[in-house]
Amino acid sequence: MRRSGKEYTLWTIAIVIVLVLALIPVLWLLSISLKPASEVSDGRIIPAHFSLENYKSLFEGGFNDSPFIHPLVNSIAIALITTAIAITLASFTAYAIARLEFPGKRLILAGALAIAMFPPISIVGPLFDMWRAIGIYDSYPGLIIPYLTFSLPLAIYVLTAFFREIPWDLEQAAQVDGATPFQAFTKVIMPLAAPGIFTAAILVFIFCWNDFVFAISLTSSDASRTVPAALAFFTGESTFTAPTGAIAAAAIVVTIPIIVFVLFFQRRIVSGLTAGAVKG
Amino acid sequence: MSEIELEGVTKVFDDGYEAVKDMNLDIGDGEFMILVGPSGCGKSTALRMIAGLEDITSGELKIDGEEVNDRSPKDRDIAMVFQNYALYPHMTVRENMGFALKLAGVDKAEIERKVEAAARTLDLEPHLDRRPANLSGGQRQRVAMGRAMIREPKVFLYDEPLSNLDLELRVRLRLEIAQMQKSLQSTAVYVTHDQTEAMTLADRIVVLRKGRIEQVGGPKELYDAPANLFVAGFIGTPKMNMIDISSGARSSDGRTIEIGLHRLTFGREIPPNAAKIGFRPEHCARQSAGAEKLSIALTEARLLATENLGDRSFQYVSTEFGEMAFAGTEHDEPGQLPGMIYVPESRLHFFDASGNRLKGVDC
Repeated sequence: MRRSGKEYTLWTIAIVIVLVLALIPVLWLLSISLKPASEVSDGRIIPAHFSLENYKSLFEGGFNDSPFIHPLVNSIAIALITTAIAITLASFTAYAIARLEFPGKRLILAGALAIAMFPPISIVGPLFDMWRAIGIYDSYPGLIIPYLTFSLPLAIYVLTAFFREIPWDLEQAAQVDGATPFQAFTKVIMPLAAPGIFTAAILVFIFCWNDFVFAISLTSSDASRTVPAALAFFTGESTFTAPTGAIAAAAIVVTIPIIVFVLFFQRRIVSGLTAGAVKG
Repeated sequence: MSEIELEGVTKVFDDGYEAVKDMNLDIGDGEFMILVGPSGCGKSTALRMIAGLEDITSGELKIDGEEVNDRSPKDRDIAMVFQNYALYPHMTVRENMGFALKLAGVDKAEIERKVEAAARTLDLEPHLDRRPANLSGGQRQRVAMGRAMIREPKVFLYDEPLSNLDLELRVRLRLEIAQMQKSLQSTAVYVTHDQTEAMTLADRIVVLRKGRIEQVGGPKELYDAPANLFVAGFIGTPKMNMIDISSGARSSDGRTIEIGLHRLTFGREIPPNAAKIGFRPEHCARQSAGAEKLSIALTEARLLATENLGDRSFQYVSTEFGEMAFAGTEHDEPGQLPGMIYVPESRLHFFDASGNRLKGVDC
């Protein structure tokens, strides 16, 4: 579809407004993170003096004493493990839902949707008690399990839409060519669903990366605390200084992987999010 | 090289729809068998059952004498060409064609050699490293054929392979398939709804309707001696002309039939139980030539349309006996209607009240 020049201009203006609104806070955060402690509240968007002191403070003390490195490692590990498990399970599930007729198929889809809609805050309390009772409170599994609960439905939905788009003939062609169903899946279906798998993976990763509710409630130490939760425990240099600068610096640092991820897979995500929309 | 036998093969889908009913068919070694019929007649389902892509509800399917009902497609040693090509979009032409061999664990150099050979035959050499998306429809269909051919399977299955192509390509690829089939000498089952394809390619044709076989025979047999009204109407363009004579009054010598005020005169006595007579448009002459024939005087003819095909033309005419088509020649004046139609006796087809061909009256 070709847009007229006027329509194009209007869209551009709208997009610029949205971008500005979304990016000003990030810019503000960046500005604060680059200011020395004494100037944090001077209200200037361009710092009078640039300082990397806040970033240094994040990493000071090495692995054991830095308030940030351990949580960063936790965040990366937990998000990656969850993404890997969620995508593996979701691709099998989604494939079955898209291709096979089996009893309970609708129930699974409805159940997945219901779980995805469930407010996380309502299960935090019970989980806290349960996890303490079975001994996985403040551990990786303690966070990975609830993350899987909420990210699996999302991944299943995205992937089901993708698998439905792949012509069934291709799989049958593979079978006639001598592939086992598993080979047909891994050699033909998976490569074709790659954009969908990337989309789902990134969505799951971002969900885990950003979560605060579970991270703050189900952890108690650096053993498993992730960055969003750890930020809340930042302290200033003395009792009387707010850790604003350090928090801003940490926020910038944790945003970077997401930006890199999205830029790197941008084309795949765009084709991924729109693929189910229009029948090609 | 192999034979395929279908014994009472039936397919009932989960929703209770019976797509193929008690199909019995022997496909000989090296035979090119074409399944033809209107859409929904079960031809594709039958093919997919042979391929193993569809379960057989009851009956037996044998390839080379072995029952293969429960064998998965990969264990049947068949190759299939799909209507929409079904090429793997993420693989190059080379990888597409070599995929089956790679799965079978064939040596890389051997795969390469076979792919190159097939590409040469199919004129695909310059395109080996391109992806299907960058190929034209005809090239894609050739890749699909190459992919099937390279495996040297027992049986080739074609599921309407040419129906997505334009006419010119269709004719060209039809020739290529015929040549390929001739040189490979392998058994093939081919599904189409295009009777021209069926007539030009087949050793034998199976005409299907609503899941049942109406007739099996060579192209000429189907054209010259259709087993029933359905086959008579399905094979040949334009359709065979039909006149219902069941309500007509016969003369005592059985050579004239009067339907209302209209009269049909035959060269000799017609079978007493004939309910319908049929004759093809291309066998209708406007001048009498020879003795034994049907002559029809048309008094209420009205021209509906003329189709000019260059070397010949067809007039579609509304007559007192229903709509009919007649072949004309370039000498006929356009728009001029025939007053008399003559059909040689040997070109007449007689059908009984239930629509079956009357045997013993073929000349």
